[in-house]
Amino acid sequence: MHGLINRAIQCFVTDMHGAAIWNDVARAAQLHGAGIEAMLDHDPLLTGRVLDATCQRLCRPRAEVLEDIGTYLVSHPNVEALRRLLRFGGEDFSDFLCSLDDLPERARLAVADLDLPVLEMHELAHDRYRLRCLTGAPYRQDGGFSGFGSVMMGVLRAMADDYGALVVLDHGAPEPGCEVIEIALVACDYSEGRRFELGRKAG
Amino acid sequence: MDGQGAGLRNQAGDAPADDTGNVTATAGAGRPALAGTGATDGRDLAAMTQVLDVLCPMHLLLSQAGEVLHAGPTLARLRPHTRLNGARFLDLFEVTRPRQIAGWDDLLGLQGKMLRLTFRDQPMTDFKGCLALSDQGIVLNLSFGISILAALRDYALTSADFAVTDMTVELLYLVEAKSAAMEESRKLNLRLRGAMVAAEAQALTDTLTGLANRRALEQRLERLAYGRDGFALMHLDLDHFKAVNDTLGHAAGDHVLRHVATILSEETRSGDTVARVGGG
Repeated sequence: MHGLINRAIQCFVTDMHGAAIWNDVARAAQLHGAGIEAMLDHDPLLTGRVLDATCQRLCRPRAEVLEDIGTYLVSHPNVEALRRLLRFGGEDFSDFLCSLDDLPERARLAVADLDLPVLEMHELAHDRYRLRCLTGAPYRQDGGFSGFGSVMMGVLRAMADDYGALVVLDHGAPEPGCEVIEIALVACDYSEGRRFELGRKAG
Repeated sequence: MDGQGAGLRNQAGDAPADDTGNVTATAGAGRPALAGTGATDGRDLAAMTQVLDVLCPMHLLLSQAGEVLHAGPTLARLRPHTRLNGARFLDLFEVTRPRQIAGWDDLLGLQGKMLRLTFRDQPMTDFKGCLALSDQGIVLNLSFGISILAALRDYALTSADFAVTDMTVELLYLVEAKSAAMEESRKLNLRLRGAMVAAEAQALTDTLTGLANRRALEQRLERLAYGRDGFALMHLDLDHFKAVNDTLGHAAGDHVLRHVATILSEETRSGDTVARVGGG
């Protein structure tokens, strides 16, 4: 698993729950040294160990923790860069939803060896979407990204907020190797949302 | 000119979407370029500016005399307090390339060529431009080109300000993504450098000879000094070593040190410590 994904878990635990809790997690997951190097690859089993240790330490189920990680990744000021990169996806939330098809390609543009699972956005009606996350076999030959759907759930929830859209999200019926999210877009401009300008300092 | 500018906008709003194409097709045939003289059918212009506003939001439509007939929506947003329609193009912009442009007439011969322009007032944004002649007037399409980062500082631009097919937004995505990745790499380098310094500070081995270094010797001596067992300390100095360095070079000197280190290690017991404490 790419170091960035492991690093995301470390930043989430540290920023949301404190360095002391992260130290507990690191000890339980038998991490050596100070932490995880974001730009280096790691043992594929490490991600699972760190996640298990995190869930155990926080006494919360994995799906919930993963969703929180997704929300953290686009709403915490420490990871503002990621929110901005996602906002490049479109002018409004429905544009953004359609841009998710390109997400793995966009990620690869930024970090060439970051291999995210394929996302398929199906537009069922103008206000209903289905996101299929191809996270495991037969779509992936490697260890897979089990739980990535939960992360995307958190990402979508936070991005809807960011765009000022009102959405209802639900886990759809899972298929082999694929996690499904059902999205009902109630209002695209429900609230003001956060501003996004192409230049970081403008405005 | 002011009156005409306002009129154009009204007609743009009035023109029914379904017949504009038809009007353009008939009016376009054989009509000389007369835009700006008041002889052009306003509906032709309206239809054309509607198309240009969508495809080239940073265009200017200019009359033969060099006055602005219409400015694309993004360009208009850059100068919200300036009345662009009716203004003379060369009063608004300076042509910086090609350099030998003396007046408006020189520009007309540059259809299809790359132009460099700068706003005359603040902020003096640079543009890349290209002009093309048409029956309805002279179309000058502008882009920020490489000055896009400066433009982002000066104006609150969003992706709606760019044509859908414009690669600028993707370019900006790439700039930010690469900066973020580069920042992570920079942090990694700093951490690795810190780790290397720390490792070097804690090292107990002399890198040249593989013997213990001064720090290792001091630790060993301290332990022995506080212990109850007796111990012996022997200090060796290599005679004429400086001469080897001076006459045969430092590589030869290093070879001597490594060779001496091997001999000393072989001739001492496994529990003994052989250390190199001098700088060589």
